[in-house]
Amino acid sequence: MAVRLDWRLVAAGIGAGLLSGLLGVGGGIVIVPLLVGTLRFDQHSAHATSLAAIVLIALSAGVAFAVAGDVDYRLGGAIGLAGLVGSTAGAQLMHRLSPRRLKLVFAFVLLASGVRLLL
Amino acid sequence: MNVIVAIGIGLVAGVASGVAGIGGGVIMVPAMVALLGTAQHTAEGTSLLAILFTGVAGTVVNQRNRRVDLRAALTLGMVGALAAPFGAVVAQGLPADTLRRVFGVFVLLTAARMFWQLRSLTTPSGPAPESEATA
Repeated sequence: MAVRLDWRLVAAGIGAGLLSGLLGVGGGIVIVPLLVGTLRFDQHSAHATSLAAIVLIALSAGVAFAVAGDVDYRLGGAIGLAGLVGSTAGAQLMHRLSPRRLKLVFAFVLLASGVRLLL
Repeated sequence: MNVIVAIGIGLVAGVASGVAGIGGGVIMVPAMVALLGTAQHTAEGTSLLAILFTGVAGTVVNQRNRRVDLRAALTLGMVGALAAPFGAVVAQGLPADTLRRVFGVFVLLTAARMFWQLRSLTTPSGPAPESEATA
Protein backbone atom coordinates (compact mmCIF):
# COMPACT_ATOMS: atom_id res chain seq x y z
CA MET A 1 0.00 0.00 0.00
CA ALA A 2 3.01 2.25 -0.21
CA VAL A 3 1.92 5.44 -1.92
CA ARG A 4 4.68 7.84 -2.86
CA LEU A 5 4.07 11.55 -2.80
CA ASP A 6 1.96 11.44 -5.89
CA TRP A 7 0.82 14.49 -7.83
CA ARG A 8 -2.58 12.85 -8.23
CA LEU A 9 -2.85 12.71 -4.45
CA VAL A 10 -1.90 16.37 -4.19
CA ALA A 11 -4.38 17.24 -6.94
CA ALA A 12 -7.13 15.27 -5.18
CA GLY A 13 -6.34 17.06 -1.93
CA ILE A 14 -6.50 20.47 -3.60
CA GLY A 15 -9.75 19.57 -5.36
CA ALA A 16 -11.35 18.21 -2.21
CA GLY A 17 -10.21 21.16 -0.09
CA LEU A 18 -11.39 23.77 -2.59
CA LEU A 19 -14.79 22.11 -2.97
CA SER A 20 -15.08 21.75 0.77
CA GLY A 21 -14.55 25.47 1.29
CA LEU A 22 -16.50 26.43 -1.80
CA LEU A 23 -19.64 24.38 -1.25
CA GLY A 24 -19.54 23.38 2.39
CA VAL A 25 -19.41 19.70 1.57
CA GLY A 26 -16.96 17.32 3.15
CA GLY A 27 -14.29 16.09 0.79
CA GLY A 28 -15.38 12.45 0.98
CA ILE A 29 -17.63 12.36 -2.05
CA VAL A 30 -14.67 13.69 -4.05
CA ILE A 31 -11.81 11.82 -2.37
CA VAL A 32 -13.24 8.28 -2.45
CA PRO A 33 -13.95 8.13 -6.22
CA LEU A 34 -10.55 9.70 -6.96
CA LEU A 35 -8.69 7.22 -4.78
CA VAL A 36 -10.50 4.27 -6.35
CA GLY A 37 -10.56 5.56 -9.91
CA THR A 38 -7.12 7.09 -10.38
CA LEU A 39 -4.97 5.67 -7.61
CA ARG A 40 -6.32 2.12 -7.66
CA PHE A 41 -7.16 2.01 -3.98
CA ASP A 42 -9.44 -0.83 -2.99
CA GLN A 43 -12.87 0.34 -1.84
CA HIS A 44 -12.21 -0.25 1.87
CA SER A 45 -8.87 1.57 2.02
CA ALA A 46 -10.32 4.44 0.01
CA HIS A 47 -13.13 4.92 2.55
CA ALA A 48 -10.79 4.63 5.54
CA THR A 49 -8.16 6.94 4.06
CA SER A 50 -10.77 9.48 3.02
CA LEU A 51 -12.23 9.64 6.53
CA ALA A 52 -8.79 10.22 8.07
CA ALA A 53 -8.04 13.01 5.58
CA ILE A 54 -11.41 14.63 6.25
CA VAL A 55 -10.50 15.17 9.90
CA LEU A 56 -7.73 17.56 8.84
CA ILE A 57 -9.84 19.29 6.19
CA ALA A 58 -12.77 19.74 8.58
CA LEU A 59 -10.42 21.12 11.22
CA SER A 60 -9.15 23.77 8.81
CA ALA A 61 -12.59 24.69 7.46
CA GLY A 62 -14.06 24.56 10.97
CA VAL A 63 -11.60 27.15 12.28
CA ALA A 64 -12.80 29.57 9.61
CA PHE A 65 -16.43 29.05 10.67
CA ALA A 66 -15.50 29.31 14.37
CA VAL A 67 -13.71 32.62 13.80
CA ALA A 68 -16.83 33.91 12.05
CA GLY A 69 -18.91 32.76 15.06
CA ASP A 70 -20.81 30.19 13.01
CA VAL A 71 -20.38 27.19 15.31
CA ASP A 72 -22.98 26.06 17.85
CA TYR A 73 -20.67 24.23 20.27
CA ARG A 74 -23.33 22.59 22.41
CA LEU A 75 -25.21 21.29 19.38
CA GLY A 76 -21.98 20.22 17.66
CA GLY A 77 -20.85 18.47 20.83
CA ALA A 78 -24.14 16.59 21.18
CA ILE A 79 -24.23 15.53 17.55
CA GLY A 80 -20.52 14.76 17.63
CA LEU A 81 -20.73 12.50 20.70
CA ALA A 82 -23.61 10.55 19.18
CA GLY A 83 -21.72 10.58 15.90
CA LEU A 84 -18.70 9.10 17.64
CA VAL A 85 -20.78 6.09 18.65
CA GLY A 86 -22.36 5.82 15.20
CA SER A 87 -19.07 6.16 13.37
CA THR A 88 -17.38 3.50 15.50
CA ALA A 89 -20.18 1.07 14.61
CA GLY A 90 -20.18 2.23 10.98
CA ALA A 91 -16.45 1.71 10.54
CA GLN A 92 -16.72 -1.77 12.04
CA LEU A 93 -19.61 -2.51 9.67
CA MET A 94 -17.57 -1.19 6.74
CA HIS A 95 -14.77 -3.61 7.62
CA ARG A 96 -17.18 -6.54 7.28
CA LEU A 97 -18.90 -5.56 4.04
CA SER A 98 -17.73 -7.07 0.77
CA PRO A 99 -16.06 -4.64 -1.68
CA ARG A 100 -19.11 -4.94 -3.91
CA ARG A 101 -21.59 -4.14 -1.15
CA LEU A 102 -19.44 -1.27 -0.02
CA LYS A 103 -19.32 0.14 -3.53
CA LEU A 104 -23.09 -0.16 -3.74
CA VAL A 105 -23.54 1.69 -0.43
CA PHE A 106 -21.22 4.44 -1.62
CA ALA A 107 -23.04 4.74 -4.94
CA PHE A 108 -26.29 5.34 -3.02
CA VAL A 109 -24.59 7.93 -0.81
CA LEU A 110 -23.36 9.68 -3.98
CA LEU A 111 -26.84 9.52 -5.48
CA ALA A 112 -28.37 11.09 -2.38
CA SER A 113 -25.63 13.72 -2.18
CA GLY A 114 -26.02 14.60 -5.85
CA VAL A 115 -29.76 15.05 -5.53
CA ARG A 116 -29.27 17.17 -2.44
CA LEU A 117 -26.70 19.38 -4.20
CA LEU A 118 -29.03 19.88 -7.14
CA LEU A 119 -31.98 20.97 -5.01
CA MET B 1 -31.82 22.52 21.25
CA ASN B 2 -33.64 19.24 21.20
CA VAL B 3 -31.13 16.75 22.61
CA ILE B 4 -32.98 13.67 21.36
CA VAL B 5 -33.06 15.01 17.81
CA ALA B 6 -29.38 15.98 18.01
CA ILE B 7 -28.46 12.48 19.18
CA GLY B 8 -30.55 10.96 16.38
CA ILE B 9 -28.82 13.12 13.76
CA GLY B 10 -25.43 12.21 15.19
CA LEU B 11 -26.11 8.48 15.20
CA VAL B 12 -27.40 8.37 11.62
CA ALA B 13 -24.68 10.65 10.24
CA GLY B 14 -22.05 8.78 12.27
CA VAL B 15 -22.95 5.37 10.85
CA ALA B 16 -23.00 6.82 7.31
CA SER B 17 -19.67 8.47 7.99
CA GLY B 18 -18.03 5.28 9.23
CA VAL B 19 -19.34 3.12 6.40
CA ALA B 20 -18.95 5.53 3.51
CA GLY B 21 -15.75 7.32 4.54
CA ILE B 22 -17.41 10.72 4.27
CA GLY B 23 -17.70 13.38 6.93
CA GLY B 24 -21.47 13.18 7.15
CA GLY B 25 -22.10 16.87 6.59
CA VAL B 26 -24.35 15.95 3.68
CA ILE B 27 -26.71 14.45 6.27
CA MET B 28 -26.07 16.69 9.27
CA VAL B 29 -26.43 20.09 7.62
CA PRO B 30 -29.88 19.57 6.05
CA ALA B 31 -31.06 17.68 9.16
CA MET B 32 -30.07 20.54 11.47
CA VAL B 33 -31.74 23.09 9.21
CA ALA B 34 -34.94 21.08 8.77
CA LEU B 35 -35.36 19.50 12.22
CA LEU B 36 -33.79 22.04 14.56
CA GLY B 37 -34.23 25.26 12.63
CA THR B 38 -30.50 25.97 12.66
CA ALA B 39 -29.34 28.72 10.28
CA GLN B 40 -27.59 27.36 7.17
CA HIS B 41 -24.18 28.87 7.98
CA THR B 42 -24.27 27.80 11.62
CA ALA B 43 -25.32 24.31 10.53
CA GLU B 44 -22.29 24.09 8.24
CA GLY B 45 -19.88 25.27 10.93
CA THR B 46 -21.46 23.03 13.55
CA SER B 47 -21.31 19.99 11.27
CA LEU B 48 -17.57 20.59 10.83
CA LEU B 49 -17.17 20.41 14.61
CA ALA B 50 -19.19 17.17 14.74
CA ILE B 51 -17.15 15.71 11.86
CA LEU B 52 -14.04 15.90 14.05
CA PHE B 53 -15.70 13.40 16.41
CA THR B 54 -17.02 11.03 13.73
CA GLY B 55 -13.78 11.26 11.74
CA VAL B 56 -11.47 10.50 14.66
CA ALA B 57 -13.66 7.67 16.02
CA GLY B 58 -14.02 6.02 12.61
CA THR B 59 -10.33 6.40 11.90
CA VAL B 60 -9.35 4.74 15.19
CA VAL B 61 -11.43 1.70 14.21
CA ASN B 62 -10.18 1.73 10.62
CA GLN B 63 -6.59 2.00 11.77
CA ARG B 64 -7.08 -1.00 14.04
CA ASN B 65 -8.50 -2.88 11.05
CA ARG B 66 -5.48 -1.82 8.97
CA ARG B 67 -7.54 -0.04 6.36
CA VAL B 68 -5.94 3.41 6.51
CA ASP B 69 -3.12 4.50 4.22
CA LEU B 70 -1.75 7.05 6.66
CA ARG B 71 0.72 8.68 4.29
CA ALA B 72 -1.94 9.19 1.64
CA ALA B 73 -4.39 10.47 4.27
CA LEU B 74 -1.84 12.98 5.58
CA THR B 75 -1.04 14.24 2.08
CA LEU B 76 -4.71 14.55 1.15
CA GLY B 77 -5.62 16.06 4.49
CA MET B 78 -2.86 18.64 4.67
CA VAL B 79 -3.17 19.76 1.05
CA GLY B 80 -6.95 19.84 1.45
CA ALA B 81 -6.69 21.80 4.68
CA LEU B 82 -4.54 24.40 2.92
CA ALA B 83 -6.90 24.62 -0.05
CA ALA B 84 -10.17 24.82 1.90
CA PRO B 85 -9.83 28.48 3.03
CA PHE B 86 -9.16 29.50 -0.59
CA GLY B 87 -12.35 27.77 -1.63
CA ALA B 88 -14.23 29.66 1.05
CA VAL B 89 -12.81 32.99 -0.13
CA VAL B 90 -13.50 32.22 -3.80
CA ALA B 91 -17.06 31.18 -2.91
CA GLN B 92 -17.86 34.74 -1.86
CA GLY B 93 -17.25 36.03 -5.39
CA LEU B 94 -19.00 33.23 -7.28
CA PRO B 95 -22.60 32.20 -7.84
CA ALA B 96 -22.59 29.45 -5.20
CA ASP B 97 -25.96 28.01 -6.22
CA THR B 98 -24.84 27.50 -9.80
CA LEU B 99 -21.61 25.87 -8.67
CA ARG B 100 -23.53 23.64 -6.31
CA ARG B 101 -25.81 22.43 -9.08
CA VAL B 102 -22.98 21.84 -11.52
CA PHE B 103 -21.18 19.84 -8.87
CA GLY B 104 -24.44 17.98 -8.13
CA VAL B 105 -24.65 16.86 -11.77
CA PHE B 106 -21.04 15.75 -11.61
CA VAL B 107 -21.72 13.72 -8.45
CA LEU B 108 -24.78 12.11 -10.03
CA LEU B 109 -22.75 11.14 -13.09
CA THR B 110 -20.15 9.57 -10.82
CA ALA B 111 -22.92 7.66 -9.05
CA ALA B 112 -24.32 6.49 -12.38
CA ARG B 113 -20.88 5.28 -13.41
CA MET B 114 -20.53 3.31 -10.18
CA PHE B 115 -23.94 1.70 -10.62
CA TRP B 116 -22.93 0.78 -14.16
CA GLN B 117 -19.69 -0.82 -12.97
CA LEU B 118 -21.60 -2.71 -10.28
CA ARG B 119 -24.07 -3.97 -12.84
CA SER B 120 -21.27 -5.48 -14.89
CA LEU B 121 -19.83 -6.99 -11.70
CA THR B 122 -23.07 -8.78 -10.91
CA THR B 123 -23.91 -10.17 -14.34
CA PRO B 124 -23.19 -13.86 -13.70
CA SER B 125 -22.99 -15.18 -17.25
CA GLY B 126 -22.39 -12.00 -19.19
CA PRO B 127 -19.15 -11.06 -20.87
CA ALA B 128 -16.19 -11.42 -18.56
CA PRO B 129 -16.04 -8.31 -16.41
CA GLU B 130 -12.88 -6.28 -16.61
CA SER B 131 -10.55 -7.33 -13.87
CA GLU B 132 -11.59 -4.87 -11.20
CA ALA B 133 -8.42 -4.51 -9.17
CA THR B 134 -9.84 -4.78 -5.67
CA ALA B 135 -6.82 -6.33 -4.08
